[in-house]
Amino acid sequence: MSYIEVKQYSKTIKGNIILDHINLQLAKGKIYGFVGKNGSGKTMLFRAICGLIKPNEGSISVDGKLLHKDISFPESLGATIEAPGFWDELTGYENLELLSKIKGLIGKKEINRALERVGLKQDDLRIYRKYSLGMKQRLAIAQAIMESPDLLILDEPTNGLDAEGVDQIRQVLLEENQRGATILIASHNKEDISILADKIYRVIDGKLTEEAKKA
Amino acid sequence: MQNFYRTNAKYIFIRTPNRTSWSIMNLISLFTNTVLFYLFQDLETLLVGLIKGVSISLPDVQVGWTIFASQAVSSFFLLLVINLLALFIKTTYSYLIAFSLCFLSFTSTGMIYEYAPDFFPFLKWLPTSQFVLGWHDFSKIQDFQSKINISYIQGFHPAFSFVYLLIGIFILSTAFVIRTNQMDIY
Repeated sequence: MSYIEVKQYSKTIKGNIILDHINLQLAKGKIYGFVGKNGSGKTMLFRAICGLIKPNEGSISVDGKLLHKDISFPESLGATIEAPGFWDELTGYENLELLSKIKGLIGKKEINRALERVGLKQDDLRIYRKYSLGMKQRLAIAQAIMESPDLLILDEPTNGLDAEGVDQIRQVLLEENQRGATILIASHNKEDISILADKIYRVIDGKLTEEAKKA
Repeated sequence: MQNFYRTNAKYIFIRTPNRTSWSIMNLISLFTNTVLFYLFQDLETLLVGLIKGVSISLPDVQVGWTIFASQAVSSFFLLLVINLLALFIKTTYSYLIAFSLCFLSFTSTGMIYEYAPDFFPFLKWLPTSQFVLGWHDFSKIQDFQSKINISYIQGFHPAFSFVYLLIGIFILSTAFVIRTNQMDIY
């Protein structure tokens, strides 16, 4: 049985077909890349798998559980989707601490470890609003990985990062995959996808096609 | 709550078991905060009164308690209306609509009293009438009403308003939970 199974999933917003009868089966423990132009539907597909949007037709199951029926959201999920939604007046650590309290799975040690892994300083007292684009991106990834989830869904994870940052995040993602996490990445950066992904999908106008992976 | 949906929702929701429990927890939190706000405000007023040498009798406590309960339940009702509207439209418009309805309702009540007194008893069915304890037929404040010449609606008891508002709160809360479950989060 597939870890993630998308069946005939369609989403229409204000008369526009955003996702058009998507079918997808993803195995556990692999890295999947999603490419496509802006507005092609990559992010919306990620939102759908995260349980954030509801379908007009079709279904998604994660680990055998049907979204919006058995569960509202995948049970062990870390995600970054488009603009990071953090609290402007809190520091990076405080943002992660607040989010970590919802599940109560991790403490200070794990939060600091996540910050360190993405290249942020644990004792940085700057508030989130003062962060650079790259720092915001790093914090979003720290937020996604801090609870060691089974499923990581990352939309443009290397956006706004310098070359060193890109390498660092790729390394983090490979480590997460070695730990056993299933990772879905959408990226404009072809190198990201070709280095990291086991399988690549292309999204065109809300439709999905499998793409051959270059050696 | 609407700001929550626009900014932080995605990272919070992926860590919660389901939307319904989140909605109910937030409604409870909103109610608790509303009650605490009026509790502190009314206790502060009471304290100032005591410092100034006001003597308090049992009927005063009963009136004070009714005012407090009325404020808390009415405000929670109004906040629910604003929050529910804000799940469909912008927060600013939700406030504007809610407060405009209150304003229109209060001013039209005065006009009805002045120009169409036959309709005055029907005002007790308006949601906003429940907010004004001075319009109620409440024996313990009738001295006060007559002293400052406030007309009250015959048969409009505070208990009627509590039942009215509690039913309203139940309907609005249910609508809030249903809407939260159905809406897409971007």
